[in-house]
Amino acid sequence: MNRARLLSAGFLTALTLLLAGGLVWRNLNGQPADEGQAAARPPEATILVVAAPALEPWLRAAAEEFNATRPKQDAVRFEVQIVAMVGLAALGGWGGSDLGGAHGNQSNGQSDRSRRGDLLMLPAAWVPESSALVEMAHDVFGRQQNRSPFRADGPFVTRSVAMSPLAWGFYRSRGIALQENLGEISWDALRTAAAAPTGWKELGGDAAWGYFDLAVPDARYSAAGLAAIAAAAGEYYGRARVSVDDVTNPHFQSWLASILVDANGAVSLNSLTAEEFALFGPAAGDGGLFIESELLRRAEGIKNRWKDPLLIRYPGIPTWFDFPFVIWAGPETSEFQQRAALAFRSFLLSEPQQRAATVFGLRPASAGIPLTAAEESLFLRTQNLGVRYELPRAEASASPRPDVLLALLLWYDNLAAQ
Amino acid sequence: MRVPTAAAGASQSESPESERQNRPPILMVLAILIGAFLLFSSCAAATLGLGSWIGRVVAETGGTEVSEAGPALAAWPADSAELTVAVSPSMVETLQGRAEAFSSLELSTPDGQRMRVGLAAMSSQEIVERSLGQPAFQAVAPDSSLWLRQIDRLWADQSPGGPNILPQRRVGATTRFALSPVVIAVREEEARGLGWPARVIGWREVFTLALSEPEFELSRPGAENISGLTATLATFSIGAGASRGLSEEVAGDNKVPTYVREVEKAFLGRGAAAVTGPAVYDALVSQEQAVFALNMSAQGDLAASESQFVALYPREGTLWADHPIALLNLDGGGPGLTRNQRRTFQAFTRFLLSGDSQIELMRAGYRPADLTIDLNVPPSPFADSSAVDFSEPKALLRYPAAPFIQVLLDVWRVAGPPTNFVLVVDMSESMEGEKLAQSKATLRELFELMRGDHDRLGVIGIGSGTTNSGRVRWLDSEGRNRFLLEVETMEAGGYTGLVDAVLEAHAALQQSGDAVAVNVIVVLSDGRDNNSESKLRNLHRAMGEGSIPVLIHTIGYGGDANERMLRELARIGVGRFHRADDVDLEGLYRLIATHDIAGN
Repeated sequence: MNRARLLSAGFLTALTLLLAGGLVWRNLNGQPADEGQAAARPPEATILVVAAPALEPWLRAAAEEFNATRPKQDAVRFEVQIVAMVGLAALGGWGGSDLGGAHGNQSNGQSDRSRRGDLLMLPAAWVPESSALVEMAHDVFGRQQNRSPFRADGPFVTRSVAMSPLAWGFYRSRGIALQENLGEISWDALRTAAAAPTGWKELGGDAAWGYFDLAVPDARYSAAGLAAIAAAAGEYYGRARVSVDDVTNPHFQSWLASILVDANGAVSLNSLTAEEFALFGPAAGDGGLFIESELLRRAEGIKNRWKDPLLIRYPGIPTWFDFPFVIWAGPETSEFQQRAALAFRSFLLSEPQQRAATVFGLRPASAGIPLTAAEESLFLRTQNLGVRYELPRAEASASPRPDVLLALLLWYDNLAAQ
Repeated sequence: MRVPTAAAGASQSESPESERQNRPPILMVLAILIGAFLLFSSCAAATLGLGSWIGRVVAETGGTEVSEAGPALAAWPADSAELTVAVSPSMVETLQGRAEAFSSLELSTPDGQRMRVGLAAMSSQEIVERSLGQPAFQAVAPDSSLWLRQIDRLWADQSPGGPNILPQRRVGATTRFALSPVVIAVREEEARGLGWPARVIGWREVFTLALSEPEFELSRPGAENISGLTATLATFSIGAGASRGLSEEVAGDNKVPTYVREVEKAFLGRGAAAVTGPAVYDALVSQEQAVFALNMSAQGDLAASESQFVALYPREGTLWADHPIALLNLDGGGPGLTRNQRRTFQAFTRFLLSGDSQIELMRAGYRPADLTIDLNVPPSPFADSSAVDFSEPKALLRYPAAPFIQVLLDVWRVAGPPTNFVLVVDMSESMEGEKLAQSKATLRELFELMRGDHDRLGVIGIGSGTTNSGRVRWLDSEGRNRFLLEVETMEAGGYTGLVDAVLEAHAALQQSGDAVAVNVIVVLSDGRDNNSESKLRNLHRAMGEGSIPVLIHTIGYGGDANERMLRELARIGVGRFHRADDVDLEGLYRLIATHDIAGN
């Protein structure tokens, strides 16, 4: 090889090594090569949907299916991302973050907003547990903004995407013992059980079970917990609708406190979510009041882990969770985001997705789709637990107003603090 | 036979001289340059990819890292898909395996960012405290959801209120991926002595045994993790005679603190157990999962033997370590959670709940969160195990209300064993300037953290700048104040006899003969030893021979610190090395004062 070739080959080798070395160095030192590459990618939008945890498994599966269709809005491809959050927590977070300020930040640019975190960036849509929470949002943000926080015009009108009632779930051995001794399960029967000085020994169960323990989600953290004590008020007064006067009545409060607090002043009600009720077993709670779908989803696991299947019963006056899908209005969301969220909602309301909801223990919001429509419907698999297909619908049942819920929340908060 | 190559053929047909004649030099150079350009262009594309790949591979060497506390300042790019999870010590090893497996899947976000999960190990209480500031992590995995409630309560206290009475939440999406009830792990012969398995044993019997039989060695981890907190809660409950819930009022009864103090004294010194391992105790409050680990460490397998530990599920009740993993609602003040990090969190939690991960967690001795997995068939370690019983626990203690948890922690800290500190303070010439100033600041802060005269403090200086060079001086509260004044006037000078000084500190702690306390040496130095007569191996030997277990923590000063030396000292002393710029002294103090056993 002559000298010129050698020089050229050497030059090329050195150049190649320099280039490779430089890239290695940039990667090791985290220089912003990646950021430049990311910025060059075509724009793609993410539509955040904050949803009640009871809906999460269904919505996540649905979002995956939806995203797989490569949805577009105004020729821009977008994807739906589900964020599970208890409705009360979402309200607390948005309220405390100065919603007006968050709106105003729109003009600060996307990069500033994204660095502040997703929570402050309002999602395009919200699917809380019940319409009562939407009304609470109206009360809170409507006052703040002097306008409705959600779109309600034309196709944007609020629609429920699924339904699920409150249901009693008991470990079967204990539920049966209770029914045999105290009759149908009711708040009054549970009050008697909670007050039994020797616990299960005098309730007809195994003395080794100890005291009777009722599990209900913490009303300060869960819409289901709040609805549960509202349901107790409904039963106390024997009617579906209760008022603020009803729930602030000292006689009612004393009656309810006698269920929640035992004779020694200790809280006899265990604040558990349905997940905890299932994971911790009968030692944590003999039974409790939860969203039906949360019980159905865990029924098989409960039977397998604790060798004692669930017994499901329903309160005399049903309480429904209607999972309204609302789309934020105003400058916090763009028309693009609103329409993209609407497209996802339409997808959820399609017949295949409504059928799919039953696989997760949810009752379809669309009329005419039977609970057993899907082969894998949880209603088919949990039929022998006491699940009732037919229940009085919302119009004949308890659907507490926001002011009633807030009054109960205040009282419960004080009781828990004591 | 020699096969001629094309080049050889060419050389045979044309001589170098004729080649030069046929191709003028200028054309040849042009041809080479064009060829070089084409070659460069084709290589460049490959090199771009190759360079990036090499960079990634080198950067990822070692897979998922577990840092002790994470970087001091939280910062990540707006499109970051890297998720850092603060995890409690008991779960760190198992979760690290899962995080590595997850990272090896090489999942990417829609915008091409690689999803990665890193862990930062810290106690559950530390997770709570850091979550309230600007943490260097985005998700938390304490050993119990009780700590998540604590985060939310404290966050609501320090944050402006939401609408009406709805509190703000710091804790977002939460998933439980494994469970383990808190049990009393007792050596089988001791358990049989108590009547197990025919009788259901309670906390009361175990406490009574520990109080009446000095030979019965009962131990427990710090109350900053769920096992320790359960032990403290049980002590209060038994002391108060509370059969169900425990209120602050009941726990405040006069007789309760007396009983709690007595039981706490009966617990074996935590420092001793940490250094010498499980061999020294007969019973330990721990997660059920640790029973497998204890038996495995004693025998190398899970087979039953006379010396195995068995799990007692206390009759009065216990608590669950329910191992949640939760995303923090990071907002305001620091970088927010990115959408990609949220994606990584969702993907990682799904991965943790997948069949493979749940089986791996079960193999590690945890009860899988997937209730459909049968614990009674292989590969479940619960199947046919005589040491644990997955139908238990039959009773639970009430979760204490959030404010009461703080009461438990405070009482436990004061009732817990004292700590004997010896600070080895380097004032040699090499510490001059900023290093010495930083070291003085450390001393002032450490002194503020001391619990009155509950802890004993000794100091030993290195170099000509101190008045007590080479000898340990024990200081009471008043002595500490005097020493702080001295510190202000100290100047760097002289040589560094670091290993000699640590040996001297070790000897002083041995002479104190205080086996109940946590005995610890904290070294404040740049590690540049240039005057020791003793070697590290002498220290190693002394540590092994001493009857009083001693821990060594080191804090390194200056960019030129000999970190190798300081790390080695910490390794010999089963402690940790910290850089002065990063050290969280409060955390270090807590770590020392509540020294954990087996990371529980």
